[in-house]
Amino acid sequence: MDIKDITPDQIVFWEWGFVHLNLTIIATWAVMALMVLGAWLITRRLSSDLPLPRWENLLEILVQGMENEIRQVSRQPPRPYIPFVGTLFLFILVSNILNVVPGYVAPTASLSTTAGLAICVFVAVPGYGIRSSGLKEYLKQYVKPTVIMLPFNVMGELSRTLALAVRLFGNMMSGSKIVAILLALTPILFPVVMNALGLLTGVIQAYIFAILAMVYIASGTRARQEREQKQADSAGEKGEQDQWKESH
Amino acid sequence: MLIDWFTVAAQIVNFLILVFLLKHFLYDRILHAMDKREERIQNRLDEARSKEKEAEQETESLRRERAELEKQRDDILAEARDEAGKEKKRLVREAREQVQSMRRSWQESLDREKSAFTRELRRMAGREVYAVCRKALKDLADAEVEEQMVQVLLEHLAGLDRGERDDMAEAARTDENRITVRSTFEMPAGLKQKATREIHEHLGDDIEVKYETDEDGAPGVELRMKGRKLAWGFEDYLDDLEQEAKRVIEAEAEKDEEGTMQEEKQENQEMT
Repeated sequence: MDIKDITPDQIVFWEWGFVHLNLTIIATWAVMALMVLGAWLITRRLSSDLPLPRWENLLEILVQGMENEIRQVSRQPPRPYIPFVGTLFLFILVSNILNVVPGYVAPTASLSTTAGLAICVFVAVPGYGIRSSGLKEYLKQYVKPTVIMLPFNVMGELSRTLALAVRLFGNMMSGSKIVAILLALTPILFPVVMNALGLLTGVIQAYIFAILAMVYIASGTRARQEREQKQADSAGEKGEQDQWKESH
Repeated sequence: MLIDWFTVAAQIVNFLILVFLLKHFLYDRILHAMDKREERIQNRLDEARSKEKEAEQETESLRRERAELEKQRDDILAEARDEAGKEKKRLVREAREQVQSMRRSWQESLDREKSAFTRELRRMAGREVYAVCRKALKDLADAEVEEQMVQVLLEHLAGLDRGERDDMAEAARTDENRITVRSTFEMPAGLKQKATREIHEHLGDDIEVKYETDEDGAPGVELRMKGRKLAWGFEDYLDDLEQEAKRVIEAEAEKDEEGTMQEEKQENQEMT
């Protein structure tokens, strides 16, 4: 097996010095174009009343489902996270599902893509954390519970980013590779089954990637949550004390 | 090398562009539409709720009004029933009174007729009996009944004891010293002289005797003075006859009255 068969990065169409266009980038553009065009077509004439057009209904179910997931995972209002986490999920989902199209190689089967997405998450976690609770509060988390934990916390941050990238790449790459190998061995029925399985894996991986990203972001905004929780608790206690005082 | 750093950078840029585009074309629009719809639905629900509340209030007020109307209707009906009952009683009372007065007037006219009938009966019977007796006496004994009647009256006068005769004489004296002999027939002159003689003999010579004829009375003859009377004739027989006739008539009338009373009682029961 050649390295080209493992990653679509090696299939280069056009090259000019450092800049080159490979299959990964072309496929990504195709996916992006499909998604944006689809979204634009559907949301061109939105109805905020009934009856609801069915494509709009589909998108609404999707968006609302993502909102609910984010709310459950983060226990925070989901609106600020929807564009980032939702796009992660949708991009990976569409990329993986399109695997059934002959000649198409999922961009997620390239470690460069998954690394790029993981780096986005790696940046988004402190980004959201600092936006929600401030730089100082966010940085304090790395020395919790003690300063000794600082290197471990930083390592954890890095390793989970790496894990995120490699998990998606491994799953998608292996899926398409297994189909390719099986196609060579048993060309008729078995690859179809494996393809179906590949679709399932693709959907699950999209879900896992998005959920994990959300979990990391949620843990990054934990400082603020904790502070708010504390404030709420103390306010509740104070209220109770006031009530107690009033009643006695 | 599995990682191509240019591709990584390009994918990051691609992803960020996609985030921006999808945010613009998908999330914002969809979420906006959903919020708007939700708001609209909420507004509609609120409106529906307020309308429902209004309808409930309306229903409640209508129910109250209906209950009030029903109560009023019941009151009016009860009043009307009461008035109808009073009116009925009044009408019945009036009818009864009318019947009573009719019965009274009927009774009065009946009594009048009865007395007129008995009077007539008495008169007729007296005349007929008198005529029969007179004819029978004349045919069988060749005697005049008038003469015999006067004779018996005079015998009665003669048969009175002294005290009674004195009382009669005293009564005659207080009445301008006069005695009236009233008869239902014209007394012959001989009989008048005989009677005058007898009266003078028993009551006193100074008493004036006056003769009157009253054909309407019961056949007989009587001596009249102030507050006293000595009579002889058909009067007693006719009295007996009248009593008997009255008794028979009253018995019939009672029978009739009982029947009417029972009918009335039944009518009253039916009405109540």
